[in-house]
Amino acid sequence: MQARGETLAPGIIFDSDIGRDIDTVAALSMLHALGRGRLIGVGVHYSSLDAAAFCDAVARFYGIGGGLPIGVPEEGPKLADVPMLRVPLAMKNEEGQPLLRHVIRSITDTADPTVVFRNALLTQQDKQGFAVLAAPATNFARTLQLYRAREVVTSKVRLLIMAAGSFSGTAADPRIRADIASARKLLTEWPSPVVAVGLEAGEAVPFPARSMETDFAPMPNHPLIAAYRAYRAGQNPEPAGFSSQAVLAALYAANPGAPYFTMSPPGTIDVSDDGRTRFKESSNGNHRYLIVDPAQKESITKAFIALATTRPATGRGGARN
Amino acid sequence: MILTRKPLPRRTFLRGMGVAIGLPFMEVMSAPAQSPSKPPVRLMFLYYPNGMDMENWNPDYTGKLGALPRILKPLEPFRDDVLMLNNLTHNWGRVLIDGPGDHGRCCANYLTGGHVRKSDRNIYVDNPMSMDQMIASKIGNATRLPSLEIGMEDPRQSGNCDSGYSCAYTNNLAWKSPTQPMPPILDPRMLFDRLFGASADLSPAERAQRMRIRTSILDFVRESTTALAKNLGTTDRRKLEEYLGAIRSIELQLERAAKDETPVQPGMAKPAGAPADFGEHFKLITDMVTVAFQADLTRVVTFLVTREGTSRPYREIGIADGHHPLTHHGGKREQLAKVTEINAYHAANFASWVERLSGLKEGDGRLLDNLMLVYGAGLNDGNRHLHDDLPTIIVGRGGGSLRTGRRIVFRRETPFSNLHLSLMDRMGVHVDSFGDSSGRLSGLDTA
Repeated sequence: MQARGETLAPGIIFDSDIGRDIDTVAALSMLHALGRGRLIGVGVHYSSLDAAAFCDAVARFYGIGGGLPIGVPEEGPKLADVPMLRVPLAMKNEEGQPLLRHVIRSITDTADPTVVFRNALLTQQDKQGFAVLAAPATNFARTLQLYRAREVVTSKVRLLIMAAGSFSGTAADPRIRADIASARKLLTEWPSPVVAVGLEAGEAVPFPARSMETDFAPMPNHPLIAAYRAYRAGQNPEPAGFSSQAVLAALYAANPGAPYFTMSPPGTIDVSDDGRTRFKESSNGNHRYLIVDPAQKESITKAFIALATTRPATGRGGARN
Repeated sequence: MILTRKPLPRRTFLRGMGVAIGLPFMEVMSAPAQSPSKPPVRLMFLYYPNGMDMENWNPDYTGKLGALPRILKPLEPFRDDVLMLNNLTHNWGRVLIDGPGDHGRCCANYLTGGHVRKSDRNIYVDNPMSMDQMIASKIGNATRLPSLEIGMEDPRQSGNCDSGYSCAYTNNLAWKSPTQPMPPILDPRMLFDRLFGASADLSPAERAQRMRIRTSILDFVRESTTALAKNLGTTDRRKLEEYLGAIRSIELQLERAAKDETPVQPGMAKPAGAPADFGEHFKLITDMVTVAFQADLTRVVTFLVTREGTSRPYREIGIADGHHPLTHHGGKREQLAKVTEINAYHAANFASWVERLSGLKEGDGRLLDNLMLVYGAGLNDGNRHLHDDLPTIIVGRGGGSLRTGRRIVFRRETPFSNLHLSLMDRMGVHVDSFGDSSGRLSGLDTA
């Protein structure tokens, strides 16, 4: 809650395709690690109770319980059995109790993501909130259609950061390709400025795999570690790191003024029929995309690790656990 | 040759000396050889303040209603007429960026679904009108009273009643415009007069004569009653007698109440002409609403049973502490138990009314079949001021549009305004959106 006239750190709404890649799990953890009141609304792209349960478990690990409803589309894409979600949720302690607690048992334990996002933004002072998209644009585009939600987004959101697109001329980002119509709608109708984090940025500064075993050693039951181990188990050889596209978006939302970020000039991003994103520079454009300066890679990696390994103040991951 | 008679118009009144008594639905109002016309659906909200003890409100199952928890136990005999709804949320009741004042917000927000401006002077609710007034504006011309607003305490319409929120917010449910609440009628005698035109539009001479006579309004309409009765069959005549008997019973209650000078508690006056005892007061009000429904005087009623933040004690059940302070129990079991008892006492009084209603015939069915009595609160847990999963039940079958006898749990954060859309539909008022709605509630009329 922010009292009228009080200046607090901005709240962030986060929509993700969690379950598709480990990148979004890391981003979710990092946003929770910012502390209570920063991550104010969480949605998932898939109609998946496992994805919702995992998000709820991460929230509880960070000491944020039932006050943060998880937005799940009732008729979204299905998600097949995903070890990086299933395995952490199934972990038990010596007494046979779940290591990661959650309360998602049925669809009624989740919420409509559009309502979650609209309601969350209403806790923000004008132009205070951030929206982070690490998913196809479906949920955010639908939010704009909700009765009177567009005026809420207009008044409350300072910036949309979307971990989607590609600005190096390579293949289309699957997140764009998955719902081209919604991506176009978002890019043309979303009222705030937009910063895109393209595929090439995430690949330029991968999240180091070795950090998972070394930097997280004091928190062996961290949901990110459990998810990463399950994710890694299916890969041979073990990857040296993973794309940080969503992590970069989360880091930028956490600290948009950090000196290690470089930004394109303003312009307009549009989406072609095959899902490729094209950037056209223009002085009155509302879009930019993030550029990774090779000289800043080390600083960015350190920032990833510092934030991801921030120990929760309370909750299952807290000091007393 | 087929003999036909002209049906008695539904809006027939017994008249005399400024009195106009509407009639209940009778067989004579249907044309012979035709199936009886379908009675109208009526909607009423009964609003209870300070939240509910949810542990003793929610059953531990969904679907078909069986044994009911402590608070709703008195409604168990009528559970087939009860539809319980869970997870309905009023986001605008929450703190958001406005700080304390949950009681002020949740009442003004309840039927408007809009943001409530924090002010004790410049009141404003961000919606053109409350849902009851929207219904009244569309179908109110079908009845003598477009809507009826009733309350049982506290006439204040200005000043600060909760952390900078005007008393206009805590003391009104109905809003005709963003800045114009519809204050509830608190004096039962005024309500009686409103229903029967018993003193409105009288000439000074008539009023003086009425005051001299000081007798039943039924005496004023005796001639028209006799004339009507001659044309009624046995069933209708018995129905008319019962109906007029109910009105006389209300008059007697009013007379007793007028002599009752007991305050609710020292320093807490009761509305003029009202009984001090909660149960008697509630019965008097609901008996009048029953007649209003029977005579189709109005189809939309809002009843602010007691106001948000009320500190009314309930000596009737041995509780001398104020309701609101008790709800901030901080987990103390003794205090919480008293909250439970108050909640259960409210429900017991409501159940008594439902019992009376369930015995009243209308058309081919029961009056209750054509009602939608929404019983609930604008807060969930009064201790923590939660605005999700607002305690809500609907009693009555909405003219067959509600499949009752069930508990439906919706998804978390489902806007309470979605219920408004669904109820407005059933009242014949169709709009695309209302307040902070995200759609209509699904499954209200399916098994």
